[in-house]
Amino acid sequence: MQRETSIFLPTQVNVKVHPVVIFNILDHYIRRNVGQDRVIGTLLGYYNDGVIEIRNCFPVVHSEGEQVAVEMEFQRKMLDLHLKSSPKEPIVGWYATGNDINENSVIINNFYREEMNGQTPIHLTLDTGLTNDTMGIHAYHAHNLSLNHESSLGSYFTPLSLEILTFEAENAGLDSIAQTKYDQQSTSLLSELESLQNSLSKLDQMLESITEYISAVEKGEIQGDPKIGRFLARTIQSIPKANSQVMDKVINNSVKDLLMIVYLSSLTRSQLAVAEKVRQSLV
Amino acid sequence: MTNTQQAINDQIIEDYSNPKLDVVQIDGLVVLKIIKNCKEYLPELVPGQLLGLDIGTSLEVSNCFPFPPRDQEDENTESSAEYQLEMMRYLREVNIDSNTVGWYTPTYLNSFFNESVIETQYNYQATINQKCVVIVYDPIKTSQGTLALKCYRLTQPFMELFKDQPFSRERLDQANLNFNDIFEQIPIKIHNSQLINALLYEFESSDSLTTQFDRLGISNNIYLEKVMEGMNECLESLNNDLNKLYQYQRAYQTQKNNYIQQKTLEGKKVDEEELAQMIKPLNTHQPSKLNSLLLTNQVNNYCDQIHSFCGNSLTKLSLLRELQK
Repeated sequence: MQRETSIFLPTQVNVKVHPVVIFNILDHYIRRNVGQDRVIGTLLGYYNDGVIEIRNCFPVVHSEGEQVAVEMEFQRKMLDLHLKSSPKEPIVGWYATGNDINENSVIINNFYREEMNGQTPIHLTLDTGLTNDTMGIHAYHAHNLSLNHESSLGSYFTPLSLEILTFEAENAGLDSIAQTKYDQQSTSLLSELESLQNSLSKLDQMLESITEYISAVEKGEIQGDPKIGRFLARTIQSIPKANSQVMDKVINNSVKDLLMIVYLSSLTRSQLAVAEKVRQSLV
Repeated sequence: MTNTQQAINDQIIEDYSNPKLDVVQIDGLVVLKIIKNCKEYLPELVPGQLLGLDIGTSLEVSNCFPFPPRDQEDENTESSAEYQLEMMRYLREVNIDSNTVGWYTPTYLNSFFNESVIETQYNYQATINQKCVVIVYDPIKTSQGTLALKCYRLTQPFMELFKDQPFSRERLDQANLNFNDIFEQIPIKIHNSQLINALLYEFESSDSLTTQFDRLGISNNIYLEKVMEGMNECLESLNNDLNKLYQYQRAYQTQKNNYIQQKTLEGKKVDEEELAQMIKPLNTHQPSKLNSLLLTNQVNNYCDQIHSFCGNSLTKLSLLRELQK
């Protein structure tokens, strides 16, 4: 990590956040103490070639009154525990809720700079007040404004580009979690068939909207975007062109295989049931 | 103590002693955490602790943390327990429920009906709270696009049976226990706070996160192959078990016959007590019935998986066939 000395040093750092981190922060905010305005915590993750992946976080106790007090002892203990279970996730920064950065943030940032042995911590803010009707997730790097090495005139926070990163299993998880949006109460998990149906209807929707777009362009109602056109052409090209007879055969074979397996497993199951019945009749 | 407080306390005690459990309510956060922790440690399967509260006949799981992965030497059972206690103490300080309600474990192909899982779960249910559950997560199934999360608990009759070893056929017969009666599955519900719902709405508007077409893949034969392989193995060991039982039975019978024959040759009357004495040591070598019971359960589970998977695949294939026309 670079150690900045001037304010002109460009920061080309990308921040990627996993959804679980944001969930964790929101959960922490919901469980805050009475009268507490905002909550803070430590972010864990790793640096990788200009990309900082934030993979985990944990809450830290602090108080902001006339003085800012962060329980660094607590922070260190928690960090130790997390490092024990996932040693590959060192501390990369800290988070706070609320949409502004105030003078207390600077102090806390300095705390974290010390914890990280002088590296610049990432600061992630999350607007739990939902001003402007968005969650307002932002990441910052703090820089010292100074004329020489000894004195510091102040700090300023530069925003970093941020994106939410998921992997496929997380996608599936998010998808099922997202069902609670429509139903305020808790919902049960979708069965495989139901989720398949959802996917298909989504696909159907997408196809419909693209057909609409194409016909609108054909009629000359809207100007066609060459980018979209090229993308569509590439998509169509990627569909393998197969002889329908061959395809039919492939499908039929798969169906036969599946039916065979279903038959065998049904047979196994009935065997089990018979065994159970025999045992019961012997008692 | 006021009356209302008394009433609340009574309610808590009543809830605690009432073994009924209808539903498990899991926070979205826990789901994501389990997925993340599991992904991190793959291919090792690292279990973890579930934290939450039990209210009436439902169980709320509001947080979780993974156990530290096991070192090469298995000397850290002590430190693992310490780790749990410490973690819970610190979590309590930030107002997170620090009440153990069970544990979770990742598994491949639902092959978790084994003795160690049952033992752990038994300990949870016997010592902490009879409402403790185990949440089983299948990373392979989930990466195909459907969240595979299941929640289990040992049934009351099985708990009784498991309390006293050995696990003989006679006792099993007495309890009249079916292989389906080991675990009971408890329906899962997902719960999110309003803030998280707000976040989910925001995610939905940014398109990058709504790719949900993983589950449309047709060629999942490898998965099916693996399930079949597992089932094959299971059936084989079940067969072995049966053979063992058969051999035991034969040895038992031979010994008994020999004894009676000897007595008749000597012209004495068969002494029932002595016979029982003779046969007793054999009884202790009686193969445990638990193993075959578990294997049966596992086979049954594999069958279920195959059925649901094939049902899905058939649907997809028939769709594709229509598309081809």
